[in-house]
Formats: sequence, C-alpha cells, structure tokens
Amino acid sequence: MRKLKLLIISVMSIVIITGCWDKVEIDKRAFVALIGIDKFENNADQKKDKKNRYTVTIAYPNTGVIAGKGQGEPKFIYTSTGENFSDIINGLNTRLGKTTFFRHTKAIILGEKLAKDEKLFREVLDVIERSPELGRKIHLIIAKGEAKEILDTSTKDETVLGLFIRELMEQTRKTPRIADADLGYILRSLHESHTAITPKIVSSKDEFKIAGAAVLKDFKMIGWLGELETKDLMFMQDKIKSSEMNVVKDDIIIALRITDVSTKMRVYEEEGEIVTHFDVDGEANIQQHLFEVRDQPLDHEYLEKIGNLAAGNIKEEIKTTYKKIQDDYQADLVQAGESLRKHEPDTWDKVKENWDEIFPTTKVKVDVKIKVRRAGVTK
Amino acid sequence: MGRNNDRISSVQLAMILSVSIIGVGILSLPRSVAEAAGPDAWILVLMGTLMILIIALVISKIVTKFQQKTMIEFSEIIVGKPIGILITIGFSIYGIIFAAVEARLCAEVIKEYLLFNTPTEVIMVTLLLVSVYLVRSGIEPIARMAQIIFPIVTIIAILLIIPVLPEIDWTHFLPVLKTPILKLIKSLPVVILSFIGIELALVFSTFVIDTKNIKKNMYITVGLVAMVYFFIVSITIARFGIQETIHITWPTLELFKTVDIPGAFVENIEIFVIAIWILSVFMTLVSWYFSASLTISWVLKVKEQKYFVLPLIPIIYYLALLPDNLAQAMDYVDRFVNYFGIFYMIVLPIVLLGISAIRKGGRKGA
Repeated sequence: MRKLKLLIISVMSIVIITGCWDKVEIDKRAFVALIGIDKFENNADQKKDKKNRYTVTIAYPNTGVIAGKGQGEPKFIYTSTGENFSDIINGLNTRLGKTTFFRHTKAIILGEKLAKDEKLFREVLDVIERSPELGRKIHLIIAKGEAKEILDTSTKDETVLGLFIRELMEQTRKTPRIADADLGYILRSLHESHTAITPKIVSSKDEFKIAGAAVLKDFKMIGWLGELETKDLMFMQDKIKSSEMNVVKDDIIIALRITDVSTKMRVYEEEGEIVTHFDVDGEANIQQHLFEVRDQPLDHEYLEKIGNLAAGNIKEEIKTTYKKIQDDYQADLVQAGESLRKHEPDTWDKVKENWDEIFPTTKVKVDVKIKVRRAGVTK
Repeated sequence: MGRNNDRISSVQLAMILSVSIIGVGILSLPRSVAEAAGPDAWILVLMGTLMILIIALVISKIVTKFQQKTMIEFSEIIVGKPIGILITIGFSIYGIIFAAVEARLCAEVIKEYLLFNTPTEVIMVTLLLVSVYLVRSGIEPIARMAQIIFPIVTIIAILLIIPVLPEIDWTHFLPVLKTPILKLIKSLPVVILSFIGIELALVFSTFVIDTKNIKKNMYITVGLVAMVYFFIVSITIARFGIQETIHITWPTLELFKTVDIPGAFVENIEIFVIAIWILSVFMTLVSWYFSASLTISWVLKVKEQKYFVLPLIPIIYYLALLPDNLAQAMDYVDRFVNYFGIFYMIVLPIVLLGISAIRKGGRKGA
C-alpha cells in the first residue's frame, strides 16, 4: 500500500511538475525594442498571391553585447512582409529562432504612407490596442518617409534604438517642439474626438530627429505640423514644461526661457458663437541680453515690458496656429469639444451633432501673462 | 489530528465575505459603471453601496435571529420543510455555477495576459485542484486564508496604483448629475450585483461564535469593499475618460498598463496585479465551492462536507467549459448568476425576515 502511494506520487509529479507550456528561456527571447510598420507598395515584386499589405521591421538588442559579455552585432533588425501584423510576426519567429517578446517595446514607428491609408491605419491601431503585451506608455511615432529607414539608421551614440527614441521623447521636458503624445493619449483622443497628434520622426544617415507632429483625423494622417506650430499646440494643450523665446526690444534680441507654464482652456458660447479661450500663465528667465548694456535687466518696469512683449508674441502665435488647425485640418486638436461636453453640457447638446463643421468657425481668445522672474547673474 | 475547525469569529466572517465579493467583477466594474452612468459613475457606486447596506442589515437580522442555526434549519422553520430544502438545493446549484464562472473568467484573464500557450483547461484544473485542498479543510482554514489574503491584495493594489496618480484628470467626471435620476436608479443593479457574495453570510454565519457582532462586521465588509470599488472606479475613469473606459474589456488591468515608473527597472506591473488578483479570485472560488459542498451535505443530512468536494469537480469543470468564448461566458453570467444573485441576495432575505416577523407577531397575539 505504502509503495503504491509512493508510486502514484512519483508518477503524478512527473506529469504535473514538468509541464510548462509557456516557458521561454531568457536567451531565447527577442526583446523587441522598436517596431516599424510600413505599407507594402512594391507591386512589381508582388507574386501571384498578391496578399502582401504590410512591411514590418523589428529591431531587438543583442542582450549579450548590452550586458558586456557577448560578441557580435549590438542589435538585430529583421524585415518581413505579409497580409497582417500578426502573420508577419509569426513568420519572423521562424526566421529568428527566438520568440518575439513585446512587453519591453518602447516605440512603434509608422510609415507616412501607411498612416495616410485609413483602412491599414485603423487595423494597426486595433492590433496595438488589442495586444495585451503592448502597454500604453509606448510612443507611437509617424515617420516622414518610411519607417524602415528609421530602423536602419545606425546611431552613433545609443545602440538600442527603442531606448534611444524613448530618451529623445524624454526631451519633451526641455523643448516643446516634440509633440508630447504617448499611445495612451493618442488612443484616448482618437476615441474621444477622432483627432489626435503623434510625434514626427525624420532620419538622415546616422541620426534621426523627433520634432513636429503629424495630425490625425478620422483615423488617418492628414498633414504635418511644423516644430513651432507643435510648440503652440503644446501651449494650448497645457503640456509645456518649458520653452524658448526671443523678444526684440530696442534692437536688442533678448533670449527668454519660459518656465512653469500653465494653460487653462475655457470653451463657451457668446452671442451665438462658440469661443475658445486660452489663459496662459508663465514665468520667464532672461538667458541673453547684450554685453555692456547696463542697468536695464534689473529694472522692474523694464522686465515687465519684456514680459508683456513675450506674452504678445505667444498670443499671436497661438492665434495663428489655432487658425491654421481650423482652416487647414478642421481638426479639433485642442479638444475644445470635450471641454464643452464637460463644462457646458447644455451648449454641447446643441452643437455635438455637427461639431466637425462648427469647430472651424469657433472664435479664439487668448490671454497670456508672462512674468520675468530672473535675469541671470549679471546686472 | 484534533480538528476543531467549525468555529470562526465574526471578524473572520467579514474577511471571508470581503475576499468573496471582490472577484472577477472588479476587473470590468469601471466599464459597466461607466456604461450605465457616464460621468456620474461615482454617484452610482455610492447609491449602490447604500442599498447594499440595507441588504446587509436584513441578512444580519436573519442570521442573528436564528443563532448558529444552519441555512436549511432556519428556512425550514420559517417557510416549512419542502421549501426550505428547495432553497438550500438552489443555493448549492448557485454555488456550483458561480464557482464555474469564477474559474472560467479567471482562466480567460490568465490566458490573455500571462500564459499564452497553456490550454484554458489546464489553468482551470490547476485552480480547481488547489481550491479542493482548501475547501476540504473546512471553514477555519478558509477564514485564516482570507485573513491573510485580504490585506495583501488591498495594500499591494493601492501601492501599485500610486504611480498612476500624477496622470489622472478629474474633469472626466464633469458634468456632474447630468444623467437622469431615473436612469441612475435603473442601473443600480450594476453596482448591487457587483456585491454578489454577501449572501454567503446566510450560509457561513452558522459557524460564527459571537453572533451579536455579525451586524457590525457585515457593515465593515460592505464599507471595505465599497471603498475598494470606489477607489478603483474613480481612478480608472479619471485616467481613461468615459469613452475609453467603456471601450476596454478589463479597464482595471489596463490601468496598470499605463504605469511606467520613470527611470525604474520595473515595467509591466500589470503582471503583479494579475498575480494578486488571482489570490482574490481563488478565495472567491473557494467560498462558493465550499458553500456548495456544505449545502449539499445539509440537504443529505451528512455530517462531513468534505465527501462532496471532489465529486463536484467534474461538474464545475464541465460548466466552466460550456461557454465558447468570453462574450458567451459573460452572457451566461448575466442570465443565470444575476437571477440567482438577485433572488438569494435581495428577495430571499427580505421574504424570510418578513415571514418570520409576521409569525412571531402572530404567536404573540395567540
């Protein structure tokens, strides 16, 4: 009896303890850091089946080299084509001899042509949103040109491209020229108002640059915003951490650093028209004045004038960009509709049916207050 | 082994009830509340909690009135033997179905987020076999387990939520009270049904030593669970906004996917969340499983409940495999569990209390 019990226990342990379907050793995982997705276009190469629609490029680091122990290439890049995203990834797995692992993916880069194709773009968005592996903190970036080019860039400094892009995106703390938009914001904004912006990435031979923004409307890309327009939009969305600005006063170009910006947006109805009101508050430091011009920077009234000049500049810029968004894109990128729904539900009920037509006719009012706080260490 | 395992304190009862109420529902609660009430979701949760407090009062009145009597005994006293037996049989069926639902939904979540290649069946069988071990041991080990698990689950969950806080936006709750009151009242069942599990008090309070504290501790249960719910619902909606909360299958899990501790090595903390959530679901499963085997033993007048534990496995397993996919599983939940739930949670306690009050009054008159 005792022996039988022992036998049963040992047989059970063989069956129960050993099995593990999901075990993947760490050196058999490909930690994909960056994904690039392009529209498949090369129709001449298309074979009979004619099913290729996407080109997907993945990049993952050679974990051995990163840890300083292994040798060889610091990163691996693979490209494949196929009908949809998961097909391609499964196809890639057969080439890698590793299991692709997306939990540490830092960024997804979409080619410009793909982003302009509504059907493909919506498919890609759904893949990303539906995936349990991809978090909402990753960056969705649209490339000018092809995404593959970005992944093929060999940067001098940081070898893991995904981490590098993430570090570049961290620069949003310092400059507002990069659109501060992660996947969570993009998805939420697209659900809420069918419009959003994503950062834009441009590559050259051995470096790339993230600046400016792509405008999404009705689930496709409809245009670009320049770096300065992106900055203004960041002002409107209250996502500025700090910004640079030049003011000309008495022929002296004064460089200012704008910090501690907070923007309050109010949308309301006034005499039958919808008004979007931005109330910007900020502080400034003087970074550059002019050598041997004495006494000016430490004069309160002078500083106040500089502040007002800066405020005037910002005000004009915001107005221009707002007009541009209205006229060129008809896209409610500032989420005025959402604000209206939250704060003025009665007005929203009247306009929500044709908000797309009403938004381009809204008026904009801007109030800016910039206080110059510090003038550096010289008088 | 001298086992004196059929007595628990009322504090332990509160712990068992708390971990039983918090189960698979919490993952989708923000979505269903947001669907029902939009920006007024938090009001809906508060209103639902008030209703549950009344139910807790009714249930505790019954169980304190019939001190340490089992469910079958007091229902026989109140409504007669045949109906009493029927109610108890119904409860065991309810327990079996609920255990099956918990097992299936838990397996679905694990498969979706953690074990992509492991068959659902294997996940469920492992879960069920572990719970058999606890269920066979009886009420006291279950109570102790609940006492250990409840603090772990709540404290870790709250700690993990802290990194979300900088990114939340309370304006998602505007405009306030624009939902018609009638609609709010109509959607009250959403919140009430998320408290399913409180009726387990009807079964478990027979083990309680200090019956006079049951009422207080049931209030504590409702309070604790309502706090957890309120916290999760408000943070999730404040993070995602109404539109997106409605769009996500399990917003509570998705919430943790937005966490990204800057500069830290820790990523993907939703996996930790699933791990502690499995503990909570495990306790829910155990409670329902235990109540099923216990009520069967009462009906058949067998002293030990543990003979019925293993034979129930195939039934629970089979029921859990019935739905084809998650959507159908949720459909089944709506159809069966909600009817059973409303009956055992609201109708039965009120009817029993009502009849017993009338009878007592009648006797006094006679």
